[in-house]
Amino acid sequence: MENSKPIMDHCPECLKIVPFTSGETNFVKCQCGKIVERRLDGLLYLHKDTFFEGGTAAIQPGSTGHWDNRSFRITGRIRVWFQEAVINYWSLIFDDGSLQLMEDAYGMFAMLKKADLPQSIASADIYELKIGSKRSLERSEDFVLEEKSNVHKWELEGEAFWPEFPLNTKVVDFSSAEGNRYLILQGSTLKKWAFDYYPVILHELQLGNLRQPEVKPYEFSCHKCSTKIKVIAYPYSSSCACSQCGSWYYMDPKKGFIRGKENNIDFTPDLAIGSKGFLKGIEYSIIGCSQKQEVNIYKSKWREYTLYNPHEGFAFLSEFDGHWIFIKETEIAPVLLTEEVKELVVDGEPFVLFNYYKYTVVSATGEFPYNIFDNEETNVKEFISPPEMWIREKNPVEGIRWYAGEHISKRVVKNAFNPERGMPWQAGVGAVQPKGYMNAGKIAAAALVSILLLMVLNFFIGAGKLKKEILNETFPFSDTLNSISYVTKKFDLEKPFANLELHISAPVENSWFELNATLVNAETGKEYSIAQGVEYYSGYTEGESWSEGKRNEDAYFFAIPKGKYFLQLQGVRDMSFGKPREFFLLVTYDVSNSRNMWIAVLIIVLFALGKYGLSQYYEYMRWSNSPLSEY
Amino acid sequence: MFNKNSFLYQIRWFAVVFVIAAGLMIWYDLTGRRILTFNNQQQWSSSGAGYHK
Repeated sequence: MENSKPIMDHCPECLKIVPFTSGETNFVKCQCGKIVERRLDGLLYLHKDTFFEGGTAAIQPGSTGHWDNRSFRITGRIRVWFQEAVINYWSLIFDDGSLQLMEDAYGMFAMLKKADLPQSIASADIYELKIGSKRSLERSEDFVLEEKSNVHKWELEGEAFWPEFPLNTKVVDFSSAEGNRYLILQGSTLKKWAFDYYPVILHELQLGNLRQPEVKPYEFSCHKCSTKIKVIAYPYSSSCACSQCGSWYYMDPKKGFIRGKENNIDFTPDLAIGSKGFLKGIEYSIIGCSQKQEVNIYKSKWREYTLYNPHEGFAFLSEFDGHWIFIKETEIAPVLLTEEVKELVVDGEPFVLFNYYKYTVVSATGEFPYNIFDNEETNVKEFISPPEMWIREKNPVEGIRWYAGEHISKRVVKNAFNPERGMPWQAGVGAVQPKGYMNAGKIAAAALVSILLLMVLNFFIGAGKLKKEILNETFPFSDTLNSISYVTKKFDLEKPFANLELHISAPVENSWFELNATLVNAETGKEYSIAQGVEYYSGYTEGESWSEGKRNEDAYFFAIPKGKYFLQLQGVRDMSFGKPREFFLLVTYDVSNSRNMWIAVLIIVLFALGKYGLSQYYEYMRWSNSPLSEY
Repeated sequence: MFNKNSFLYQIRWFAVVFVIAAGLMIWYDLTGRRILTFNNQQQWSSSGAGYHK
């Protein structure tokens, strides 16, 4: 891809100048209708025109965009038909004249940047490798062969690049657990071209000069009942079913739709085929619905709706027991280096293996991307981290596909498609239904952080307390009296509301002491009274010494408003043998109080325990649908 | 900040409970009260209705 200057040459058919605008492209449509291929030796070869089937894409020759801080223009595309998929490879010419391919597959996009071919596979027939094979590809990581396809048919729009004549090119896709991907094209002579594969988000390319995509359904009559079957997303929909007799059809790239076996037609989807609605901000049409069943002892059945938008491609809605999951195939996906993996970590989030199964299609109506009727050998694994999940489908022939799923509420689906039949009744807990699930570690971490924050708050509140000493005095009893009365001087309490702590200490020994304290507002006459006893008893009974009570206690006046106050005190003692000779009183205004903090901590701890208990219950319910349940 | 994919979304109820607990603690602390205390503090007002021994 070094020759960036346009080459002026003449069409071998009509002798007009061949409209190559870049030296990097090698296929172009001439005005005479022939396709001109320019090979490395500089010679031009003619091919029959390829009629472009189906509607048009939003991207067109002449569209512009940006990637990797560079601008590009799109010159055209080669669309290749694999056995079950139809994929566009757009040719991009950057400002510096270099060329790059962009894969456009079912709403997923990726940049293909030319890379060095690993010597270890240079001479091998990589198409012979099995799906799931591991190769290091002379890099410091293991790559897994995830997909391999053979080009059965090709079409050209505008001016494009393909390493050699596209028919029978083998396309092999390797992925590493580190997220790197590698695409290798192998020609019919085993010659290979390697590309680094960079998945991209379409809107990040800032594409300009787009056209309105045109949907051009493919129509044919049912081979059995002659009902007209309309395939809206043709040719990307590779299978469909007759709505009248239930005959199944799959698309052969060369022969068109071929009739398969008959469908069970005793099935009416809850969401009507043809209805439109907005999900995730995109207007989707429901173009198909299949009912699938697990091939195992559970024989669970679920419904899968095909959603289609000409700009955004395909998505799916899966419904099981009234729980809905929005699913989209994705290029940015995990890679399983072994089949033993029970947990995936994606962006730091652990996804646990929830289910694995093979399935069969029980009934279907409408149309579907890929051939859904030949997937009996497809192994499905579902990894969940509610409300999200990853679904991996591995077929020994078709390869590995990853789908990202996310719980979607029944209400959202209902509002989007407004089904006449109503929505199916919900039962149990859905596989990724969010129930506020948090694992024990996260709950403990959240509780710990909350408790620490409460302690910090309490510390700062305590630091702001006045801790003003109002009284600090010892009151001796006269020998003959059992009580003391005392009235303090007036004192000011400044805060709008605050407490008053009374620390009482009396040397009681098998006796008691009681303090009656009345706080009087000298201005309003309002009084607050408390009584606090101090008692301590000890002895020796049946060989054991014992004691109860204590010689000091704290009492509080709470929420005392601002004002001028005085205290009326009356101390009363027990006149028995161990009577106290005195008592001590310390009165402090506006003291800190750790008790409030510990009650707040208790609230957090109780919530954390409740959350954990409820999470365990919901998880028990959720995993009751899994063969891997540990509950 | 509290979008559905964030960690904060998962702990939103924790945040609510924390705000309630911290709010209670702060209010009770700053007004000199104690949470869940049924003490023997009695009040009389010489100017209002009521009985004073």
